Amino acid sequence: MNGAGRFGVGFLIGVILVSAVTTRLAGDEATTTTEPQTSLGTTPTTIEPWFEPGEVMIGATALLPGSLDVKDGIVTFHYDLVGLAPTLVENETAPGLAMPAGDVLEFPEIWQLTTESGKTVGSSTGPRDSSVRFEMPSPDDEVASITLTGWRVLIHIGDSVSVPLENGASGELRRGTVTVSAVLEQSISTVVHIDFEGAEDPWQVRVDLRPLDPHWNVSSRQAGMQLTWNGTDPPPTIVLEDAGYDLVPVSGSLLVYDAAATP
Amino acid sequence: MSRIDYEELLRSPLDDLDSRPPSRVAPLVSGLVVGLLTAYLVFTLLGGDGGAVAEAPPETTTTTVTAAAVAPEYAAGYVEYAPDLAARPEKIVVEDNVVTVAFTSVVARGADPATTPWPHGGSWSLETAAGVALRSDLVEFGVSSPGAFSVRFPAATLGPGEFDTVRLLERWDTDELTATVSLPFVGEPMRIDEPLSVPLSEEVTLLIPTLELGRYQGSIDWTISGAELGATVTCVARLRDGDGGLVGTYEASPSVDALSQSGRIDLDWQRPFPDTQEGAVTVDLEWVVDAATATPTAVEFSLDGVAVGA
Repeated sequence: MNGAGRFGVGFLIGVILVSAVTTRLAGDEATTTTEPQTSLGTTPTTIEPWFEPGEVMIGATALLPGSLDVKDGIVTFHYDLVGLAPTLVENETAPGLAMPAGDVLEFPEIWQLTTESGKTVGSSTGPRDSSVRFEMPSPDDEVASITLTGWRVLIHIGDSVSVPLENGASGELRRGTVTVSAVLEQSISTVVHIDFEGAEDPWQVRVDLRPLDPHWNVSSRQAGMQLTWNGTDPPPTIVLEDAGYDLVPVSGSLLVYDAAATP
Repeated sequence: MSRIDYEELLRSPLDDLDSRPPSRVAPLVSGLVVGLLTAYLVFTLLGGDGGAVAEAPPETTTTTVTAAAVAPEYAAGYVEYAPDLAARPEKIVVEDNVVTVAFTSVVARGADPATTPWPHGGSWSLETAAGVALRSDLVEFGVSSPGAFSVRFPAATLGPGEFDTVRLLERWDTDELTATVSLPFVGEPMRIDEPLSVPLSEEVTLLIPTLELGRYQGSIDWTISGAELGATVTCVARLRDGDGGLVGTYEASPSVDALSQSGRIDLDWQRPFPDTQEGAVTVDLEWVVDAATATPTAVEFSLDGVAVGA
């Protein structure tokens, strides 16, 4: 083949290459054009905090995580509780919150700590606590997470009992027994001693007895109360109501401390 | 420096091309280059594939989701039943002839729990899956927190598992009425000789049959007229000297009081004022009466999943 023939072969190869490349490019663009692609993100699940970032909501109560102290194999996790319930008095326990604090209606009770090695250890708290303590299963292990697995909700269930105004008379309330332990007739008044015996339950936080008839003057006694009637003609029976609260248990799982997410 | 060396420095490799034999590859390369250029020009000028790319830009729709936080008005599971206030049934207690539904309540996001008004009562309906509806006869609060209340339903034959819905039919809000009455104070114990009448509005009047202010404590009995659904009554008694200066105050401890047509207020002498009422010549009785009014409503609470117990 002479020089002209070689030139012609090169020319043809060049034309074929350009055609192939442009056709391929056009095909790619056509696919993109006819099938718009939508890139979807994940659905947001974060809730704007009620009081401050990092809070853990237990129903209508925010648990505000505090410090985590580890010393001599004992882990202590501190927390504050702030409520959303209406209140009679302004709460000033946690200044600087995003909104004013109300009454606390939920209280942590059952906890579980998980170590870096995967071991778990439990603990429990009461209604007046603001920290929980764990014993580390081994001294060289570290805390991975703390989970709240049980708490109590404060509710009020109306309850009352009518008791004859006689020595030894008694009546049953849902949370215990009331007994008239003394009826003392004075010259111008009558004094009555009422005893109360309830169940041995640390979560029975508030038994609040009061007579329905407001004309009884009430004062407290050890294990009960003293009622005074002005005059010597008190009614033959006395109706007592329990204006206190029950704390009912609830189970769940709330992650309150995560070492991996803690700076 | 020699002449040859100087020329060698200026020498180009191309200087010897003319002296080399003709290449067999050069025509092929030249043809290839010309072919590439020609084909490109043809495709461009004729609006070929390259033009198609320019005319049809990619229609790619990209949805960028930012991590915006959701700000619900109420905590999870709560249903609004009054302005800025929501409730949730927590437990159903079944006794011999009474069913009680216990609620907790919360304020709306941003509302002040200390000032948000809460209904003092209402009319409720407890409905079963079988279509039975019971009317409430009492709404009760604990002594210290308005956030926990219960609704009582008289029921003789209902058992666990039958409850479907509890519905608020009528909400008992309260109108706050205030008045101040000044009386002479001649020393403790102070008592009134005649019942005291305190008009609060055209309809509502407070009647005080007995009032006593003692050394450390005081008490006031009251009845209300013109408030069919009842009222709660509080009073602050301020002792003042001849110049109007404050000598001391009697106040009641804050508590959740039930709506009533009558009641008693127990007062305590407040410190750190002077420990005696000495110097006081008048007492200002500052009354705050919350008289209940009915507001028809229809708020439904599901009882699905609510614990039932004794």
